[in-house]
Amino acid sequence: MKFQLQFFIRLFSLLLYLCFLSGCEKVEPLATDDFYRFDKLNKLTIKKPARMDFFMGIDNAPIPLNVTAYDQQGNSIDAPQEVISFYSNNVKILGGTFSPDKEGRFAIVGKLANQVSDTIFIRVWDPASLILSLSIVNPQEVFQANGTDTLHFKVDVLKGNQVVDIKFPYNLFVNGKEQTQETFSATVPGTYKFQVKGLGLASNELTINAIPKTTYSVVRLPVIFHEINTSVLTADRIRKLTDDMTRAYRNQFNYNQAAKDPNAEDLFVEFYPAEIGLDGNKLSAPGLHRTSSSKTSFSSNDAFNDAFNSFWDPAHYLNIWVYSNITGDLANSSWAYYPGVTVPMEGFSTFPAGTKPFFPYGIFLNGNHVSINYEGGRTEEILAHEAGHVLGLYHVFDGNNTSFNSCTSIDPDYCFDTPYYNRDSYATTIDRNQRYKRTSCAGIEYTSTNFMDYYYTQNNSFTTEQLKRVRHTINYGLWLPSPYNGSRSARKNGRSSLVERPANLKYIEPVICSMR
Amino acid sequence: MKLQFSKTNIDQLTSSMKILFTVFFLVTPLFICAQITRQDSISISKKKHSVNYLGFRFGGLASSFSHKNDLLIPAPGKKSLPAWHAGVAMDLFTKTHYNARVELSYLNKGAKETFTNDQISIQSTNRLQYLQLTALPLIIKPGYRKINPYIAFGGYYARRIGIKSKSKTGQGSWENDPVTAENLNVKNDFGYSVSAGVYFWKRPVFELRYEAGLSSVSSSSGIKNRSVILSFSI
Repeated sequence: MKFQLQFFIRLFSLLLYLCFLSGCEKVEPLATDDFYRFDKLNKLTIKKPARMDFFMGIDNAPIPLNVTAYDQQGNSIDAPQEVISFYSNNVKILGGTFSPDKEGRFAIVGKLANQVSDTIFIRVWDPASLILSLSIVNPQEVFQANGTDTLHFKVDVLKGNQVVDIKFPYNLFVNGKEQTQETFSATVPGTYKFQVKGLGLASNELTINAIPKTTYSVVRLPVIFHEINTSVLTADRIRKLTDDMTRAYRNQFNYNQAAKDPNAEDLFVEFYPAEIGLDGNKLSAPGLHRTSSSKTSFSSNDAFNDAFNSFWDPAHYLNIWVYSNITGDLANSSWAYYPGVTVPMEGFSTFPAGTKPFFPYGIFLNGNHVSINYEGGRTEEILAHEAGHVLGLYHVFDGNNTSFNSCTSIDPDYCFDTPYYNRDSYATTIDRNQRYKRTSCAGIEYTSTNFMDYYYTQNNSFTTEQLKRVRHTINYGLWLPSPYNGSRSARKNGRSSLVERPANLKYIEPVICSMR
Repeated sequence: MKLQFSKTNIDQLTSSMKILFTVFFLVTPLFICAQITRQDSISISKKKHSVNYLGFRFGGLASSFSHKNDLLIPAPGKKSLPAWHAGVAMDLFTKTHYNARVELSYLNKGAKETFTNDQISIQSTNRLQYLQLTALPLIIKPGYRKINPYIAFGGYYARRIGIKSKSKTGQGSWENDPVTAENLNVKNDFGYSVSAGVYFWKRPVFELRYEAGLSSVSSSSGIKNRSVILSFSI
C-alpha cells in the first residue's frame, strides 16, 4: 500500500513535470504572411500617389504607400498596411513609405502572402540636372493689346537635350511680376517679358510686343424698309430705329443700363435711312418704300418669292422687308439671310466676286414686330439682331426659331469669347427672377448680354470675335452696300435698280428668330 | 571556456529532450512497476478485473496549431490556448493488464498565436468547438488492484460544431475576425492520441493525454490540431 501510494505520487509528479516542461519548447515565430486571414488572398493593388514625379531637396516628405488586398470574389480583405512588404526595384523598403532621396526611376510593389501587387513607377529627379524651357503654343504674328488676343504658354522640362514629361508646380512671371493664370492677354500696349520659375529654376525669357488695338473705319449702311400691304412705319420711326441700330453697333445701346460683356466692342458700323430711291431721286420718306402684293398672307416661301418684287440693289441698300400676316411656323418670327463672302470665313459659303444675288439677302421683319416695346422683343433690338445675321453672326447658342440643339463640341457661333449654352434647357427651366442668367456648356454661370442671344438678354454687347466676323463680312461680303461693293456712305444721288429674279429661283431656308 | 548556443544547437537539444521525455514517459512507469512488484506475485491467484468503468470525464487542455506537421506539444501558458472539455467514457473488455475505452466529449481546441514582421504584431485566437469520439483500443496497465497506472493509445474523430476567431493588432483591442473563421473551413478532424493515467479502484481518476490531428483544419493551409489534455473522471 505504501509503495503504491508512493508510486502514484511519483507518477503524478512526473506527468505534471512533463506537462510543464513541454512548454519550454521553443516555438518558431509566425510570419504575418502566414496569418490565416490572408489564406485566400488573390490580388493586391497598390494605390497610385497623387503624382509620380518627385524632386530631391523639394519633396522631402516620405511618400506613403498603400496597398489593398482582395479575395477571389473581389472583396477587399482587411489588411493593415504594416503587413505589406514594399519593394523598390526589388529592394525591400523599411516601413510603409518611400523616401525620394536619390535620383532614378523606381518600380514599387507591395507583397503579402506570396502575392505581388501591380507596379507603380515613381520618378525622382534632381532639379540641378533639369532645364526649364518656355515657349508659346499659339505664336501670333501680331499680338494686339485688345484684351482678347491671348497667349498660351508651354513649359518643357529638359534633361540634357531630351524633353521629359514631368508635371511640377511653376509660376509664370510677366515683367518680373507673378501671374495667376497660365495665359496672357494685354489691354495696354507695350513690351512684355515672360519667364517661368519653379523647382528653384528659371526658364528662358520670352519677349512679346503688344501693339495698340486695331481701329476700323466707320461703314455706314443705307437701309430701305419695304412695307408690303401695310403702312405703319413713318420716316421718324425709321430714323429712330436706324439710330438705335447704330447705337447697338457702336457699343452705345444699353436699354437696361446693365453691365456689358468685358469684351464688348464698337463694330464701327452705322445704319441710316436710305435717302435716294431707285430712280435717283430723294425719297419722300427716307428709308421707306411702300408697295403692295396681291397676296394677303405670306408663308416664308411666299415672302421669299415676293421679296424679289422689291429687292433693291443690295450694293446700295440694306433691304428690310416688312410682311404682315405671316403664316405657318414663322407666324411670330422675323428672319434674315446670312452673307455670301468671297474670302472664306468659318460657317459660310464662299462665292466668286460678281455672283448675282440668288436669294433675298436682307432682313424680313414680321409685321407684328414693327412696333413692339417690351422686354425680350423691342423692334430696334430685333433689327440689331437680324442685322447681325446679315453681317455674318450666328446665334450664340446652337439652333434657331424653336428648334435647339444641346451642347455640342463645336462653338456654334465660331466666337470663342461668347459662351454658348443649352437653349432647350434654359427655355424649359426659365426662372423669371434669374432670366438673364445662363449656364454655359462649360458649366460656367454668366449674364447674357449679347445681341445675338434670344430673350431674355441685356442686349448691350457685341464681342471682339463678333467684331472680327462682322468686319470680315464688311470687307469681303457680297451684296452689301459696303466700300467692297463700290458703295459710298451717304450716297446722295445716282440711279439704282431692282435685283433681277433668277430664272430658277429656289427657296433657301433663312435663319429664323422667334420672339417671345 | 565560453559556451555559445546557436539555433541549431537549441533545436538539437529540444529534439533530444523530446526523445528523452518520450522514453522516460513510456519506460519509467514500467520500470517503477517492476521495482515494486513482489517476486511471488505471479503465484498469487489472479483476481478478476471484469467490471467495466462507465463515468463522466472533464478537465482542461492546452491546445495549439502545428504548422509544419511536427510534434508540437502545447503547454499551459501564453503560447497555447487554454480550454476545457467534458464528456462520458466507458471502458470495454477490461482485463487485468488490458482494456479498451470509448469516449464521447465536447471540447474546445484551437490556438493563440502571434504573427509578426518587422513592423507589426498580430495576435490571433481561434477557438474551435468539437464534438469528439475517442477510441482507445489499447490500454496497458500492470494490474494492481488499488492504484493502477496505465498507458493508452488510440485515435479520435471530431466534428466541428463552432468556431470563434478574434484578432488584435498591436495595442488595439480584440475584434472578431470572420475572414479567418471562414478560412479555417475544415469541419472534420481526426488524429491519434497517447495517454498516461492512473486507475484508482478501476476508475481512471487522472489522465494526461497528447492528441495530434492528422487532418488540417483549413483547406488553404496545413495547420493541425495539437492538444495536451488533463482529465479527471468520476
